[in-house]
Amino acid sequence: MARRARSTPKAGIMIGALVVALLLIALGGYFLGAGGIPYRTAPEFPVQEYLSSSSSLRGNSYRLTGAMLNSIAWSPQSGRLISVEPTGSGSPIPVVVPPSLGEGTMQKGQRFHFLVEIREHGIVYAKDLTKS
Amino acid sequence: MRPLLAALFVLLPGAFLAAQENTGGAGDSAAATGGARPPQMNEGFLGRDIPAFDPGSEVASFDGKLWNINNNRLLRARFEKYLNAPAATDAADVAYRKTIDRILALLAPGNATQKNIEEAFALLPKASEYKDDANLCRTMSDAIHAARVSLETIKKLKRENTLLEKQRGTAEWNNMMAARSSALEVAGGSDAAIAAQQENIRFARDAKMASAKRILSDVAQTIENNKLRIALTELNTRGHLQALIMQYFATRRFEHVLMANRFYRAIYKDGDNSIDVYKRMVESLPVNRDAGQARINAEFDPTVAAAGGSSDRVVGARAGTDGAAAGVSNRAEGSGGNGGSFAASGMKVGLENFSIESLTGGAAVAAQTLSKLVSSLSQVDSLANEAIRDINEGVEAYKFLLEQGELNSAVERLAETFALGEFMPSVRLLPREDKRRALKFTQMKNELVAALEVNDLTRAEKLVNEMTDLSADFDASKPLAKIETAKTISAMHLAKAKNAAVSGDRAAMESELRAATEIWPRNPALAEVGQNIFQQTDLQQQALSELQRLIEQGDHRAIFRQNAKFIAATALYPEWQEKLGTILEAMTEIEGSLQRAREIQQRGDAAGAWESIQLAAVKYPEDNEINRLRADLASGGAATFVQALNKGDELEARGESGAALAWYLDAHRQYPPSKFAGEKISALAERILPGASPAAP
Repeated sequence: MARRARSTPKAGIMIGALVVALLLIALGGYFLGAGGIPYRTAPEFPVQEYLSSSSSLRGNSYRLTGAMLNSIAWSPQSGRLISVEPTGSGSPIPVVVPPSLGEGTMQKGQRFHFLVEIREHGIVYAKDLTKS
Repeated sequence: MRPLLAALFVLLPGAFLAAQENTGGAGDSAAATGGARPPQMNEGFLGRDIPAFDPGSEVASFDGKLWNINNNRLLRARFEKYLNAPAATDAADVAYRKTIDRILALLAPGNATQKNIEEAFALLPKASEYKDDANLCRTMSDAIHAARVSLETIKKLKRENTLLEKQRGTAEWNNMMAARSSALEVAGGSDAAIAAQQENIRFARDAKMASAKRILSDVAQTIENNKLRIALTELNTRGHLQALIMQYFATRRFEHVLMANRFYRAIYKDGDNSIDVYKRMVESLPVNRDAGQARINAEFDPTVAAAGGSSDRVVGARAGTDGAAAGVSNRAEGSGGNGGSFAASGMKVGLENFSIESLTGGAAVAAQTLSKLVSSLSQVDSLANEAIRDINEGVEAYKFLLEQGELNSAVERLAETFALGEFMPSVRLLPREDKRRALKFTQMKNELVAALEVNDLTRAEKLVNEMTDLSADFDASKPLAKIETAKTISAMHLAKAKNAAVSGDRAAMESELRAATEIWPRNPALAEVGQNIFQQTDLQQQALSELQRLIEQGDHRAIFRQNAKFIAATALYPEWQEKLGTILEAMTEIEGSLQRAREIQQRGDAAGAWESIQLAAVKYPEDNEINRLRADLASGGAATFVQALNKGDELEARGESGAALAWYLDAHRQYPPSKFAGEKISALAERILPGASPAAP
């Protein structure tokens, strides 16, 4: 018995519409999500470069995202020195969080977005932070 | 009788062995008696002039000197020579024996007719032709001839005196007649005239009597002189002959004693056998006992002087010799008479110009002592006979003991017999085969004495065992006791030497080794112990040198590995001990760190191991083992940890505290117990946040 063709012009239109719809969803999600990352304008913190030669980064601000590993020291006036494990890197980075940023509420393991500045002696100071 | 023979036995050879007092003789005696003071050394009621012999110890004592008759080097050598000599049985020996026997037979009591005496006298020159006689018979012949000549002289002088006595009688008669025919009668007149006449008559009488008086005086002087010559000649020849007899006795020529004695009796038939003349001669011998020396002067021709005189009122004569000679003076107070006197320096006999004065002293003392022991030629004669009998018995005893296999006693008897009667026929005729049997034993005995003298105890012990097997009566207890005692003492000294060496007392070690060597010079253990000690000393020096080299090289681990050796080597050196102590203390700490690090590493904690060893490396950066382990860990299991720390240090040094802290945090993340990382983190935290608390509130 001879084989009979089953596709029709209506089905083609439906597939094309679905593809367009998916594309639209993807574009919307991209734009809606990117709009949630803070300090998007600051460059990401260059972990390896910092570990190699921090002096060359002095005066720059960066966006640092990572989990708080430990609280190293604390001073009511100077704030808290914490170690942060940047996302995507295993090397802890020491960050000084001034009291004005509400460092008292920070807990070990919490993830934060930091806007940091590298100052004298390569010390990383948090200018702003948000919990992620 | 026996003590006298023993005394002779001692005196005769002793006189010539006196020089051995402080050498072999005394030493032998001391060895034989074990150093004990024999009873003969004590002052007896006769003092020490009388010799004594102790048969128990075989030690003879005389004048403070000791001799062991069987243990004397000269006697031993002479005895051994005798044992090797053949029996005196050749033709000359036999002929000599026959001649001596013939002389003795001719002079035997009851057989000594004038004819036999002459025959015996004629045989003396013949006997002296044999070497065994040593010309003693010639000397005897000369002495006898001299005595005979002197007797003829005495007879002649006596005849002369008889004639002179007749002349003196005639002279006295003439003198008396001259005096009678010259009476002092005068014709008369005044008193003065009478006195003058008497004086003239007296002068005339004196003139008549002068000649007779002079003749009388001359005759009296000659008679006295002859009397003195008679006395001196007899004294001289008797003295010569007596001295000769005593000399034969002293040299143990007993047959010659008998012959000379019988000739003496034949010549001097007055029955006077005393030896007073000889005694006076030997007593005059000067002996310096304190110095052990003697100078003996022989004066058989004494200086004499004689004088005779006659006078009506004083008769006297005085004579003297130069020096401290004897002087005799006869004075007769009163009228009439005559007198004579003589003086002579004391008669002396002795030896002069001997190079060894102690030898002459010994001879002089021996002669004096001998003269005290005997008082007549009869005694000398009986002593000689007794000695001959004793010698013959000794030889028989030797033969019997030899048959019994009792070699020790046999040799001792023969040695005694030989010492007393070396020249006697029974001794000389002993067959060589018989003597050879004793020779081996004697040689072994002499070797034993020599071995004991030099403390060759090994050899002595071997000889004692061999002699015990050889002789049934050999008493091994004495030598074995000495040997065992010496061995024990030597072993004790060696043990002390070892202890002294271990404790580092070098002086004591040397002293003990010396003492052990003196007691038993050939002790096999001595060489072994000495070698060990000296090796030890050598090793000690080597160890010290090695220690110094290792210290200079800084190889403390090598020192630590051989610590026992170096501790022992530095025991005597405090400065070395201090250095070694410091090194070993450090090495103990290092080794402890290494051990701990290895244990941590074995648990899989490489970073912990590295950190552990790094602490030691900071303190001991030169230690190779630490550095090696540290490098292994740094390039192995603890590589990233160490790298993190190093990077932190590097950046910290560059002033990049933040980045440095990041590396330390990384190291701490890898090894949370890290002391280094913790300290660094704290330090940098303090620097970044001054005054901050280390932990969160």
